[in-house]
Amino acid sequence: MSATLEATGLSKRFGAVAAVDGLDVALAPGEIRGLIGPNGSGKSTTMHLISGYLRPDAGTIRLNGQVLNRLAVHRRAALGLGRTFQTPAVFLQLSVLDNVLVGCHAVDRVGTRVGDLFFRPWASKRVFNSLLERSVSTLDSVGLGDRMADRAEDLSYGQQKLLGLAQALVSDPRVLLMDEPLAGLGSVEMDRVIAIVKDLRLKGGSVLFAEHNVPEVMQLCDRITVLNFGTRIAEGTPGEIQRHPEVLDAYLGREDREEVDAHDQ
Amino acid sequence: MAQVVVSGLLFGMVYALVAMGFSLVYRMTRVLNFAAGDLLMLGGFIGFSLYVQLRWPFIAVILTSSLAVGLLMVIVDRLALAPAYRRSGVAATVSTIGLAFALQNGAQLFWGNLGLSFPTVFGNNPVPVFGVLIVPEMVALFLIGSIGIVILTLFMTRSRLGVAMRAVAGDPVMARLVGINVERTKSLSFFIAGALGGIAGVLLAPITLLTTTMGTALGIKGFVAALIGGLGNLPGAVVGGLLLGLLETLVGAYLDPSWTDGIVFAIVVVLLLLRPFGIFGEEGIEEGR
Repeated sequence: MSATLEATGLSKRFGAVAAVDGLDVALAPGEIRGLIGPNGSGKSTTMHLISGYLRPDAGTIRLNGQVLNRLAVHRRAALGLGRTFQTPAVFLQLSVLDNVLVGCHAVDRVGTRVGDLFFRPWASKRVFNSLLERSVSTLDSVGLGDRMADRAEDLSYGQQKLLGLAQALVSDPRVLLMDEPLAGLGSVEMDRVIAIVKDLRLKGGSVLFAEHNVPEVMQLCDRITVLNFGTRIAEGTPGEIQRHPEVLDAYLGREDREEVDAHDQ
Repeated sequence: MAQVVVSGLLFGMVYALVAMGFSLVYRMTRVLNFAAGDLLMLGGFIGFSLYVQLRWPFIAVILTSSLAVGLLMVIVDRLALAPAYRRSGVAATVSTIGLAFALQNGAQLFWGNLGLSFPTVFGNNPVPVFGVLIVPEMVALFLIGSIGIVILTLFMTRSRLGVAMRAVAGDPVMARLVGINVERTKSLSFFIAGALGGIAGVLLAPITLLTTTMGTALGIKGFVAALIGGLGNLPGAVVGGLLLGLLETLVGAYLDPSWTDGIVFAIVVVLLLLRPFGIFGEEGIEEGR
């Protein structure tokens, strides 16, 4: 099976530190891939490199065979690459509905250019209404359907994260990059995110899931890539990862302690 | 009393239009556009040339004047303001003061130093309506201005571009990440401010004497109206404009007309002491992001 998203030899240095060093990752269609590793192992940097927020020093990123390296963030989004952020990145002053509407920006450009309003007013209106409908149904699917008119700043932290997810989902991404989607969520919201991810898989979308919550990752993901110091130290099914000696050594033991700390907070 | 209130509100529409452009530009770029009043002056003079000299129909005059002033602002933004506010809102604010003088001197070259009087379009003779004397010209100003406000409000809330503009105002970095062309939306805010100025200038022309320096006082009052309503808040700008117009006529009618500006500004100072961020203003709007 050919990969939907394929990164080869991905590298990024910050000064003397190699944040990501020669990383290879390939996601099959409909695959949920876990990306785990201790703090500073390069998970977020990998996400930034793939989404275009950072530019790699070396390596190639392909989406359905097309090289993404030189494309701007919004062009990648238009090709079907969505992403959510570790801390909720939503427009606090906008309404919940408008936040999702803004997420449609890369999908269809009609109505986003000044000329459209003068020369294609009806098409602009039609696209606006269809995106409005689409935004409403996406909000329903993340459970925020009854909060549409509220300002995003009035939502709880977890709801803001769900809103960020809706903002990414509304463009029907082929590949969704999720940076710690479960962090800070209550158990109900966590279940909802997991259900949404499974639903996305059924539709043939792939997910790259960077997460600290190891038990959930083990349950949800088809395969897991383990990073340490910017390189891949293991890759395999959750069962293989749990038995991998190097992973146990470098990562899992420490992560268990971190989890205890996280619970204490 | 009713007479004074009605004329105050009608004239307040001029301030409301200036204040909206002022607030919109500030919200998008953190620039205080001190040339806002001069855009009105320019709109008035362009209107004079088209209506009196070329004898165009009035509606075409309004549309052309607003388009012309709007486009001029886009060019000014691209050439002079955007390179400045990309680094500092304060630098660009000073640039707008330069722009104000440039517009005044440019208008002098074109239309000369003498005041021009614009003929009446809708009628200058007061008509009694429910016991209140109203000037048709003022009613036209109010109605056409209101249409402009409704269109702008619909644009901001019911178009993708308007939603994108509000997103940029809230968080430009995030807006770029979701694929919005941030620079273009900022230029668009200058276009809208120019277009509002162009409309207001043509509407104001028949009830005043056109002079190249008329914009200075109008610009400051538009700024004050925006502050009263809450800087950056569009409905607030409308309320602030109408309130300022009302205050002026009340003071003019019941106190001494020659003291109007002093008394009105004293009241505004007290108002801002009580509500530093204006009626609808939000704390934090002055922090550039």
